[in-house]
Amino acid sequence: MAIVSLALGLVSMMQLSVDLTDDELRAMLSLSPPESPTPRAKPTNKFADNPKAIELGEKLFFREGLAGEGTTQSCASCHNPDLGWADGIQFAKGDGVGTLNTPTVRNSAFSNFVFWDGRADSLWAQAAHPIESPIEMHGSRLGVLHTINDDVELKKLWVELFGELPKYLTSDIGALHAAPNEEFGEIWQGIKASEQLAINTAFVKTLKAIAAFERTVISKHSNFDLFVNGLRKNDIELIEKLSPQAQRGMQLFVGKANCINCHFGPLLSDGQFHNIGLEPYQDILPVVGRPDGIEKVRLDLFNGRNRFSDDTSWKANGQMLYMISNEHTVGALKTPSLRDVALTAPYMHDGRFATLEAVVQFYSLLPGFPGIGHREETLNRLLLSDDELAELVAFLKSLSSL
Amino acid sequence: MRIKTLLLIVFGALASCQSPLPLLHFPSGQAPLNEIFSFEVELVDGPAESVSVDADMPAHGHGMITAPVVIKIDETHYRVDGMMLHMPGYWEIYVEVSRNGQSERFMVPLTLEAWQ
Repeated sequence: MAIVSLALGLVSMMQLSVDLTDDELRAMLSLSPPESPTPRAKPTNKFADNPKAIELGEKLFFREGLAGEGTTQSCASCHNPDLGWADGIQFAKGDGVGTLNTPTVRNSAFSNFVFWDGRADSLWAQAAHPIESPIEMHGSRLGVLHTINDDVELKKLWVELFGELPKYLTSDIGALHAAPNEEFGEIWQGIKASEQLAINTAFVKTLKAIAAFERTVISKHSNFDLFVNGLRKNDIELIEKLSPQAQRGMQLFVGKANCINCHFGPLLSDGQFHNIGLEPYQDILPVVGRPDGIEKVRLDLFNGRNRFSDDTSWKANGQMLYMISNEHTVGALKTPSLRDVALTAPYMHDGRFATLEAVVQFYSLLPGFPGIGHREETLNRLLLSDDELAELVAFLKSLSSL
Repeated sequence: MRIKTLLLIVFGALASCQSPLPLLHFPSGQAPLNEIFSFEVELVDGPAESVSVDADMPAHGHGMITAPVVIKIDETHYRVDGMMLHMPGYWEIYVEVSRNGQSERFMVPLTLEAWQ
């Protein structure tokens, strides 16, 4: 420890409650770099960092009944800021009830792929799904445009940013809902191709504004970050922001428990997909995971390679070009960020664990056999003591934004 | 890390093959963690009919989550696009060189750390 800490100028290492190895020290520092990360540029959305798009996107995000006539929900109905930008319940609940837990919007701007199986390659492509899902907002792309057209404030902002809305919205024969899906497909087919294109184009602009807002929903500094800052600045008061128990949990996280294998970097996530070997749950069919996500993202009309993207080049969409699915990706689901994880219970893709204590207990014991595919082979039973389990949880709770 | 990586490349290739090892040129001197990257393969013992590249994490029981594409630059240089070593730990990069109907496989060990 001495060599590395002196090399890094960490003269305050003696204030720690744990004795870290050089590797543990480097690993710990990598979780909280001096500069906070910012989302990468998103060339498929030229409005991604446009202040007016962010303003419009925020209003759209919180607009109840966004998806059109007869709908009541907003994006915030399931991505509630007071509930960690998720919903606090086991299964996503909209017009119906799903079988998946709602992921948080927070830090989603850092993701290359969105949804548990990564079936969307951008936040703007993701936003189309809940709007038209019969068990979520249960509306349509045309319904969204009607909502904007009928709302003076939204329309003003939208037109200032994007220009005119499609003429179809004000035509005598115009329908209230239309989308190329099972429910509204017949109406959609009755719309002229040129008008379909205008509707899709306007819909995508709307989605890009929502995505622009979502990119601003990012974790803030936590007690863990203050602690690491304290080490860098030799500030005892900051070092004391992380309790001795949480410090021991941090050491487990980067060391013996090896959580850092998938939860690395400042977001404490690799953003990739893994099968952690969860047992079948109730009578719900196991999720196929990444192979299904890859197939869907390739077929998605709104993926970064299609006409509605602002940059269809392979350079801007590299992961789409090279991604593969095989037997190792079956059952693989996205690694969530652990920033603010204490605020987003329940946990796992099906919300089966109500508490962080239950989550770390699972990783400690790895009970049963996977419902599908095979478990990531680096996962081994840790058989942590009760004290160690509590220490890990204390560390996870120290990652909440202040 | 750069020196460590180069040493590993030399050791691994010599350990697995009789032929002179291909040289791997990483743009920033090392393979990045969890990012798509390209690198070049230089065949020091002359042209080949084809070159293919793959990578594996033996301890994890899995390989890459991308399928790299090898593009011939000239007779002895190839560019490999679409590489991604998505997890920290011990990786083996395999370079298979085919000549005169026979192929030879070079193994290049590489260790990526979570903090690099």
